[in-house]
Amino acid sequence: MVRIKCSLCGYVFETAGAAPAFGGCPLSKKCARARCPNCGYAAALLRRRRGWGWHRRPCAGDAAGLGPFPLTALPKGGRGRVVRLDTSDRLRLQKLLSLGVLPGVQVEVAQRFPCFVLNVGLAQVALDATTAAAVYVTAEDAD
Amino acid sequence: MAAAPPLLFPYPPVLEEAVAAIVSLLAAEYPLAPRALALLLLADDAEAWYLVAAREGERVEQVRRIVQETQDRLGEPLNYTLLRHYHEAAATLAADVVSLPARQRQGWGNRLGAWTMRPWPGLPILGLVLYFGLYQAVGVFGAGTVVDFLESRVFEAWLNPWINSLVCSSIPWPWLQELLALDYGLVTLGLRYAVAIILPIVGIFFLVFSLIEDSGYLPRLALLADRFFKAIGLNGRAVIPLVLGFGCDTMATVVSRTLETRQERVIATLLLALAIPCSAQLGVILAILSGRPLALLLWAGIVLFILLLVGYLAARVLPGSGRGFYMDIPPLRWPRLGNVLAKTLARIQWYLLEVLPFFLLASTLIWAGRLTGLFPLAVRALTPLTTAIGLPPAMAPVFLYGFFRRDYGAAGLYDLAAGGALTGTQMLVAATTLTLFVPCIAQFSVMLKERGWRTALGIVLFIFPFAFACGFLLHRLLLVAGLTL
Repeated sequence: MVRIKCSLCGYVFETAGAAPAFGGCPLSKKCARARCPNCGYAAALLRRRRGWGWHRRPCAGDAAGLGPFPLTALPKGGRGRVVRLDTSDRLRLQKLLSLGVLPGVQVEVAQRFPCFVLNVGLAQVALDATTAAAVYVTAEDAD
Repeated sequence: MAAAPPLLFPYPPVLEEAVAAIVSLLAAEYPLAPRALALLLLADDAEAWYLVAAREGERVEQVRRIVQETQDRLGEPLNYTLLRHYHEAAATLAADVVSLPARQRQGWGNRLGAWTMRPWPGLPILGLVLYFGLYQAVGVFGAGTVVDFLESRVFEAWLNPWINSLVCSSIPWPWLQELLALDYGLVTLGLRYAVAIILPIVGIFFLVFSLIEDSGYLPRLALLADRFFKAIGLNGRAVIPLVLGFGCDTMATVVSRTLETRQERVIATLLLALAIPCSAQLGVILAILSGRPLALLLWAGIVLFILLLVGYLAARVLPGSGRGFYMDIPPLRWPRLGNVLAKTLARIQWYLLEVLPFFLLASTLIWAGRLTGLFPLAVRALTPLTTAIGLPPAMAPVFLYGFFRRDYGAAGLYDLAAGGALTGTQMLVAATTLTLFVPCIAQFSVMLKERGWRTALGIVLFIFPFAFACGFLLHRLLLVAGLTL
């Protein structure tokens, strides 16, 4: 049994009691993610997996209908609507604002590696993971 | 005055209250409306604060208090609040008049644009860009074909003999003859180096750079290289000064001021001075090593390794931390010929204005140095160093000239190699040492201006022994390995 800390709300819970994140996902057997019982965010890894398999990354339906989570949890092709920005670092905030990444804007993750590339409106912007983590989104359904 | 039109998009009441309070406080005359100024103050605009601090005296403190209170009430930076508001207003307006197609067409441009941003196939594409843009265009065509033609056909066969005979027959004084013509004359050496060797190489580099710049490839390169640059204390944005350094390190050192933190600027300056060869050096090195692929590969590998090593160590030693990477990615576009040509010509003009005086000055200094016996003295002092790294004594002047201008030394190296004075291994050692060796006078003066004398001097004092130590080590290693290139 492993104790893990939810990367979103910081709640510590035990994996034995936690539900696998996505019962309906066809890859749920391999999915290593658990849903946090406190906030419902599915970021925590149930177990460490070897390799770089894509099931290590968040699945497409990951956090649909849940509270805001960092943009970095969106999978490639995933869509979200920006709800707020982390304003603790003013310089970083300024950059995001100058790129047009603002609350209310819909973003689509076009690429996650080596940098995050977002489609924002008709424009494309690149952010490194640290900067992208300051953007909080709610998931939107991909059409 | 007519009544102000009603506001279409009023700000939230908290902000409107703050604006009204600030407007009632501002007493001095300003070139812009008080309301606009109040909004700029709320958005923490540095220039607006400067303006108000200069004209309002004591009242500035009251204004500052209002801004602070408003910010405390909203619990977030006010420029964030304001921008959000603008955006909402703009979105409301746009929603009525703009309609977007449900799905964007995936054209070839978009697809290629997406490819260039991923390691695969982005890195192979980068390889192609470097191979055709740098190696084929600048190295083979510029430093090979064009330089050959200008050097041997125009200058050596036609212009130099003509000038020499003209000078010798019409000017009776040997010292003036030597200043203008003969081996180290203003025309026969200074102008020849500038026009026949450097200009074609730099011109073609600027042309290629403008093409790449206008196609929108550079931001993608920045994105691709971000992780790599993070390892050496920079971030992807440093791609632009560093790539520009392959054209002219002096210009690139000026551009490095666009980097965010002092640490990044110092590292970029150091790496530009140490391990980024300018287009003249690059062209000459590519030209003299082009017949020896192994030597060329070794040279590139060694210089890249030193770039990484020194960058990595500098990032550990220098105080401060790098900033996050962010960049707007424009779509890939066909460059417009008119724009590309205009940009290339402007850069060549800048370069010529910058370079020609230095070339002529260097020629004059060499002439004066030879006349006074100072130069042979300096060359003699350098000779043990060049022989220690296994190079013929004739390389000593090349290093000395290299300080006057990087490209000047490169041109000297080209002369020497074309004359068959160097073996393959010697060429590799010479190319590596000359690449690392001190920046030219122009670059050094820009370093002084941009980074201050302590940093600039520190960088040069590090580079001088380091370059020769690397040359020495390389020479020894090649001897031990018994490699002939």
